[in-house]
Amino acid sequence: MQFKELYQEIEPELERVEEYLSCCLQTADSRLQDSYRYLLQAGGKRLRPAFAILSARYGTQNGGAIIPVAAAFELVHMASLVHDDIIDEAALRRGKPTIRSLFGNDFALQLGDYLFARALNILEAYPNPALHRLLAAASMEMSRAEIGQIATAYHYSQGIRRYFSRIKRKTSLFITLSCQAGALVGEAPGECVKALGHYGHCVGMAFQITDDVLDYLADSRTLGKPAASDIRQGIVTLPLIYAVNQAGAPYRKRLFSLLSENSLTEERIEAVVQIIKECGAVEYSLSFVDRFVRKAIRELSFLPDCSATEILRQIAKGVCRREN
Amino acid sequence: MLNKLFQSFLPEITAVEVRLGHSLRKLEGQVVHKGIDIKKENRLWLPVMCLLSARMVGKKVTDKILHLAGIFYLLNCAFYLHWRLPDDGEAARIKEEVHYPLLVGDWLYSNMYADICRYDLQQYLQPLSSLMVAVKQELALNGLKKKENIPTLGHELKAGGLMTEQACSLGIHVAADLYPLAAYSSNTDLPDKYLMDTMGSLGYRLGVLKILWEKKENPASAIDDWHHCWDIMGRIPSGREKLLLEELLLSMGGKWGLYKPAFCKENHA
Repeated sequence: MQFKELYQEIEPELERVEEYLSCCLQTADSRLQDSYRYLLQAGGKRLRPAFAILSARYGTQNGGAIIPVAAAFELVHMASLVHDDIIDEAALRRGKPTIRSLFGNDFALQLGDYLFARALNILEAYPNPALHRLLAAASMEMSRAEIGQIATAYHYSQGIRRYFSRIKRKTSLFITLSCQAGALVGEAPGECVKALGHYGHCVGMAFQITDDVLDYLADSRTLGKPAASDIRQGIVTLPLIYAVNQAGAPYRKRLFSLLSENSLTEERIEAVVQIIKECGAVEYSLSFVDRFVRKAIRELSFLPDCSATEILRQIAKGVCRREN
Repeated sequence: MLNKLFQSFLPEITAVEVRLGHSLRKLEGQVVHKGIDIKKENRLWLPVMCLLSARMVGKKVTDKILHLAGIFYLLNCAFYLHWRLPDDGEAARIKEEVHYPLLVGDWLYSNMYADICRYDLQQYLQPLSSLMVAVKQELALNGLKKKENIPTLGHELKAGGLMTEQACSLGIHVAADLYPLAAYSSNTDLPDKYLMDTMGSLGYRLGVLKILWEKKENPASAIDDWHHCWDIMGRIPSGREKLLLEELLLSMGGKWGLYKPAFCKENHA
């Protein structure tokens, strides 16, 4: 399922966001321009701008005001991906070479910072204290979550609460803000902002858990990046948490034996992935996805019945049908 | 070279560092401290230049001045952590040399943004984000050229110059606290506009000189900037801050075999 199929109604606004992104990443230096162009053409689901545009529909103000905000949010997201690829030492993203593999870590680092700074540059025109406060908090929490993730790498005894706390900060907070941004800028009623926030939180959590499951299930071609990258880096996600704590005794025994070595060979990684697939970890994780998606859809009952609400409903359902 | 300058602002800098230290301790995993060892002269330069400029305008250090200095402290630390990252093959300890500096730098930038919101300094978001945009473009080009073994000093000098320029200029504005910052771009007659521009200009050159100093570069490229600083010094009001700047320039010049220009000696005799 392609998310972009759901965006047909907001396609004109999304095109304006793309044009805005293209404009604000203009530079006189041809080398920099080539790298910006490459980044924009690398694609992406544009989920966060879509949420911002949809949530603006609940406001009373001019819907066009959300375009720069949506573009800024996409820039922040792009910045986080560029930096994530440095941390993950990733060579591919969406099937194409990453910025770091083409231009080096140093350039990728500066580019990520540049994208974040450009986003702030755009947003300074919005004198909405709540928007700025929420974005600043979300950015800080995203960095903290990433730090926490690498600080606790290879700590296989982590529990589900720590995992949920981490993915909330890493992913769900920013999606929550994307869902609320349009409503805030458009001055929608408080109940709408609140409902959209809860929706965004649930969809964000479902999205990240699905991501973590796909990392074990999907192959590299479908993912557009190497499979099982989480286990390779010692990142403990929900499927592994289940397998370590709740899988049947033979699975757990085998898993402890595989994970007890200092380095994971390709053979061991494949064996871990096989255990994850067999022991019920995938079903367990997807049950949480299902729960979060149902909660998200319930939140939509607090919103007016309109096409935007229907699209949000379809996006929430689409999260658990993703392949990449 | 910078110790005397930093000593002059010890109480203010201590307040800023204590607050950041407290925030850093809240970061998950104490191990992050391994990745954020920044030399004192690198992390204090921008906040001290901001405070020095502010003191030229008013004798009292207000909370607003301290908060802006704190923001420059965060910016300075983040810039240094992100100044240059080794490529995969160069980093012997990938977590300490790449991951933690990258992520803590990101956190510092976000913290800077949060402080702008928290302390009612939104009028500075535009110049500070524009500064980041300009500096990051320079350093991105730096990164590209480094891979091609093309000389890159010019980009680093420009980055250093831009940062110090802004620290000095905004330090004047926050201390004067007369008109919104946006008013100064359209109205050149506003009070302290002349001093903002003068200190900004001096700050740019001092920033360039500091980078040359740090990198132990051939001072031949510094001579023009060094002399230009003395030209600008003539336009700064007399006082303790001006003396500190003169001592800073003399200290740099002494190491480089440069001496106070004759016309300055006549003026200050």
